[in-house]
Amino acid sequence: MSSTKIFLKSSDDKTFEIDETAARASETLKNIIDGGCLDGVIPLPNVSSNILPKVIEYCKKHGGDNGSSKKIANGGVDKDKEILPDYDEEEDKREKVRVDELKKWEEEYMDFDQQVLYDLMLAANYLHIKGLLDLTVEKAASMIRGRTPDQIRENFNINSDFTPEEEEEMILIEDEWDDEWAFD
Amino acid sequence: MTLNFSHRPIFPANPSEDNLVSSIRITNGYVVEGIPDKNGDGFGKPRRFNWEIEDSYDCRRDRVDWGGPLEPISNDILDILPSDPFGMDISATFTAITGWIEDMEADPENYVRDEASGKRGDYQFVAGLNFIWNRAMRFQAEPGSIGIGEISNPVGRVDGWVEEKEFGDDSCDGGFVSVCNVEEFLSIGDDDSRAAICPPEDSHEAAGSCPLGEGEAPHEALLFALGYLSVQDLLSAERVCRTMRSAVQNDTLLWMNIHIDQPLNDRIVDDALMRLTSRAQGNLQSLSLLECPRITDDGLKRVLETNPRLKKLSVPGCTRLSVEGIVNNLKAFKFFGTPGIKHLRIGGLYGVTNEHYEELKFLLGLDNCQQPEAHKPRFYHSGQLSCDDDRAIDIEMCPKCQNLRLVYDCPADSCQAKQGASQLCRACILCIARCFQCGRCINDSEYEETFCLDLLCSSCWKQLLNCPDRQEEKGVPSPKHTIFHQETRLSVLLLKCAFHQHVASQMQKGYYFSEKMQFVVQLDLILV
Repeated sequence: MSSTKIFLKSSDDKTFEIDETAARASETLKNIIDGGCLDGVIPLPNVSSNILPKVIEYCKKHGGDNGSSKKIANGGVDKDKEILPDYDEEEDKREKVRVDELKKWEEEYMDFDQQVLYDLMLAANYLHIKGLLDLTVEKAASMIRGRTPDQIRENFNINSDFTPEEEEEMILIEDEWDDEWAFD
Repeated sequence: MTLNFSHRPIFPANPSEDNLVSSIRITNGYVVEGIPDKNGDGFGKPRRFNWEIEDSYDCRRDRVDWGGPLEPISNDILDILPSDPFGMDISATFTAITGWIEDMEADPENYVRDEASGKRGDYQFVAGLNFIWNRAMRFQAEPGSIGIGEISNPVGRVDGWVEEKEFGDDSCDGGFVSVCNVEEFLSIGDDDSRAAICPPEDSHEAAGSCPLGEGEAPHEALLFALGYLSVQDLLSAERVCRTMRSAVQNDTLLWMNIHIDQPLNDRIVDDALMRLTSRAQGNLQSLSLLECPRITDDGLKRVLETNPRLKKLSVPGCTRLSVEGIVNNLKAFKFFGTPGIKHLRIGGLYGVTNEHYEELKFLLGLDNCQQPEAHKPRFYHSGQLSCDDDRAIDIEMCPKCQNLRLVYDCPADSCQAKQGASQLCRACILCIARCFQCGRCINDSEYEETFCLDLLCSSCWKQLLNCPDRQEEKGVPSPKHTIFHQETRLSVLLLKCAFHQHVASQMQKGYYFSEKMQFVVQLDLILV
């Protein structure tokens, strides 16, 4: 595929350049391109200029390869491969190196603060980049997983706006579970 | 700890009346309300305030502390009972166990999620040990990868969000602000006591100055993450703040596939299950209860009655469910004229007869001879009872013992190479012993026995031993499990014997233990 350049304009009127193949990682952009409404610059009023380069970086890495991004989204491990004995070992090794490399890249890529994470989630959602959405949302989910409500509040800097009664009630519901246990 | 100020201000508006019957007492520093019937406040149900109150309501319901049911229930019984009836030196054992739990929690990241259950872990002697039992098994089974299997509904959720969120996209900030406003307005109207009691900033907020950005309310994007969480985590998330609560509780998509496993499974009761499933508002599609010992046939019946669209039901290891109950429930369910359940998982259910099996197959819409051999092979793994393949029912007749159980295939090359012989290495787990890691048969080869009496083939055992080195190279701290295993192997063996004797004596006294535990203990005693 010829690599036509596409220009994206951020919400604060800055223009960025991206290859068409890379841009196809985004469903939204893909539809615009395929729809033939491509005349010069695509305006993205919901993505600011400090997030857009980050998005483009992801698209460049993942443009064109749908398979591997999917695998990464599954945690990088293809479960069938572990069990089924009849697969090509060489192929598997190469695949593994590639996945490892991609994982490392993702680790570096995902090193940013929470505000960026939020913005990136919104941008990925808006542009329909499934891989990026999975990646970012998974990061946010991992900050919730296994935490108590207090820890979640601390992680995301959220204040509880429950009234004391509501807090009380929630504790009561928890107790209900335990009380029946005590009666057993 | 929260105080309950109820709907009335701390200082009564009409002191003359309240001076007669003081409505507020101070107990151990907690403000506690008296019984305000006089004012007709209309408390529909008795409220329990704090466990410091000894005299109120039901003594058994008041938790004195987290010290477990022994203490709260039996303040008086304890005096009568000998402290250590079986000569087990329980306190020493207990200390050892607590030590392990601490060790596990010290391990970063992986075991953070255990804290909640860890807290419950020292709840009860047996529960605590069971917990260790299960955990220990898990270290070996999946080092460093806790969490991947946690996602309750990984795929498909995002699409849902994408659809929904498109509306809000045009005005990200605006939408967010308006949400806050609604929340705050709601809280104003909620009750006036809040305004009276809340600290100044709070009432300031309530007056309309909305928190901008982060710091006060969750970011809109954070709600995307909800679709990636397990039930346990959703329950934590809904207690964070109002926005999260309404997002969790009102999104039926989050509750269409409910999967309960560790650590909720030990706690969930019929009523709680009912509440959770009702959040799907009748759209529940799959319900999976992994080893939930407190769910009863009746509870399941109520869930089925209110969720006519249920297609998949998985109840492996739910010891209180009976096969009769399941058959009857499915019959009634089919009678409603619903499409009916198409996938049923009852692995490990006791007492399934041929008639039950035929009836279940009929209820699932299977023809008698249709359960074909053409399914993809199923391998034994980590003793898990859930099998997520395309079969309509998970159990089948074991070719060797003719019992209706989970039947496993063999992944070993030697067994698979001989085409005809592959049928030979196909049986339930009792007929052919298998490695709990890779699932291969270990009839002739070398194997190791683990803490929980699971069997490991020699290659998996080696792999497990090598794994910390590999991870250390990458800079990941070595998982605790290997060290745990080596250091405590001897003490564990001793403890195992002691514990099994304890369980045996409890069993004679009529206490209930799971089938696996009974089997394990009997086996152990024979060996000893």
